[in-house]
Amino acid sequence: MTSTRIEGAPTFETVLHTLQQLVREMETQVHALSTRVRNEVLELSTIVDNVRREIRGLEPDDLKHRHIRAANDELDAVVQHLESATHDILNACEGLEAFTAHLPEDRHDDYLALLARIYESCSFHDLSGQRIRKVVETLKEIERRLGVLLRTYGADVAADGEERERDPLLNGPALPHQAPSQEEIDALLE
Amino acid sequence: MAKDKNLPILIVDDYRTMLRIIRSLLRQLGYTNVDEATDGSMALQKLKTKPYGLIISDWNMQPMSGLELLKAVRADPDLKDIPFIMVTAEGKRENVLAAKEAGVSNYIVKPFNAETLRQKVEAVLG
Repeated sequence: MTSTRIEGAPTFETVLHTLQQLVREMETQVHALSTRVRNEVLELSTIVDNVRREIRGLEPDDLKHRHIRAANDELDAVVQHLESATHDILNACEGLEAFTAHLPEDRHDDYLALLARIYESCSFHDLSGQRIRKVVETLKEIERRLGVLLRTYGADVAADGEERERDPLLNGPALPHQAPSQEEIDALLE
Repeated sequence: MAKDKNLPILIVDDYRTMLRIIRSLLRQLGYTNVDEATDGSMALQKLKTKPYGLIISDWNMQPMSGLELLKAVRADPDLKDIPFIMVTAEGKRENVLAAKEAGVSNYIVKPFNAETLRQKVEAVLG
């Protein structure tokens, strides 16, 4: 069997050469693409590393377990102090109200009006308590988000949080259940 | 001016201090027959045991809010006609409208004064 060659058709060598050129071209393009992908992956990796470093700098575990919890306790204490003070004021007002009968009749209205002003003002406890409740809710949300961050970045982030040195004498007012009584303080001074 | 100063009044608030403040102001207005509840569900229980002539309630309470209490009161054939004053820090327009839609008789925004309370009480009691 003899092969016949169509006139004007490329020779086998020409086709082979063209194919070889095509393969080389594709290899060049694939190489360039893979280099670009590799560089982008490296860049992403660097970004992730930076993010992790920044999160470590935030010390989320410390924030969550110490600072936010302490802030919540402090706010609870503020609400308790406000409530206690308001009850004291109201007790005093009720005592003063009972005293009305001892005043001249023509002074009763003025006297009771002044007491009413004090009663009205005592609603500060309710209002400030509600505002503090909002702040506590915000803190809880921050705490929740920090929890997500910790779960996402794992225990290594938590472990990397270094304990900052704090002045042990600078703690602010003690919480009610931790506060020593005046008698205990007096005893310490004896 | 309201006539019956012995009218049983139920005040509802989750802050004990607010209960004392409202009770004291009502006492100065001459109303001494006052009971207290610290949330909507406790108030509903009390409403079923005694015929109250006025409810003064906070809005923001757990587990049952003042608005839920208002709706429950208005849905109950035995309670639906009791005047209901909302006393709350929730002063947004949509709050007032929601309370109005639920059938509130009057609405006082905290902080309030004795004169406002007197006016609203007398307005709803006629």
